[in-house]
Amino acid sequence: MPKIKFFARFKEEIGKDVIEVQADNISLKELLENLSKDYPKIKEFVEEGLVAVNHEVVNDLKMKIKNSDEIAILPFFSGG
Amino acid sequence: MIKLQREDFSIEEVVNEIKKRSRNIGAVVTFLGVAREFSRGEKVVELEYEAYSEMAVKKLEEIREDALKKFDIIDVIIIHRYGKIDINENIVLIAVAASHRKDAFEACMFCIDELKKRVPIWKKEKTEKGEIWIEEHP
Repeated sequence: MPKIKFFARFKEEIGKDVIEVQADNISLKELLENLSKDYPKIKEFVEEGLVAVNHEVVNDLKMKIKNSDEIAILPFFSGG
Repeated sequence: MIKLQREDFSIEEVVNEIKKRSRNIGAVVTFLGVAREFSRGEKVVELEYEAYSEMAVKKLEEIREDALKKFDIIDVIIIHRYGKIDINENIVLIAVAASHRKDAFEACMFCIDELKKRVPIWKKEKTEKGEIWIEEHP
């Protein structure tokens, strides 16, 4: 099952650091839209931050998601 | 060498470590990021850093590799801390060793600039008025 991870403000606002979902051969966009039904905050997060798949930021949400994928919804960074 | 760690680091140990890499090193430039007391007009009591560890280490490695390709340098060490950090404590250290100072300075600047853009680490500022996660829009 793909995992969706949350960090920093997003983690605090959603009250979880990871959600596992059933997703078979659907796009990242569809997966995020489905999840937004249970967690409306996710739609806001995607607009306010970045989405990473397997530790790379992705700009095109049309990519297909595999069961082994690790997705992360990330606020803009503030390290250093 | 890349490290993401909770504990503090010794700048002297890192500089000694990088100097051992080659007898051809003529310059070591370091950047030390320190927790500042005033931010956006507010008095900061404490900072807390959180990292997406696997991705942060991967991105730090990539920045190091990019710097080694782009500049005439010998090695790069980057250490970033996470967890609670008090005012005046060390946050991040970048050490760049080269034969000559110009490339070492430029590569060091490149590494800290890229770190801020590419590495998933977040800072929470705890001030007298409350706590806030800082998010820097690129």
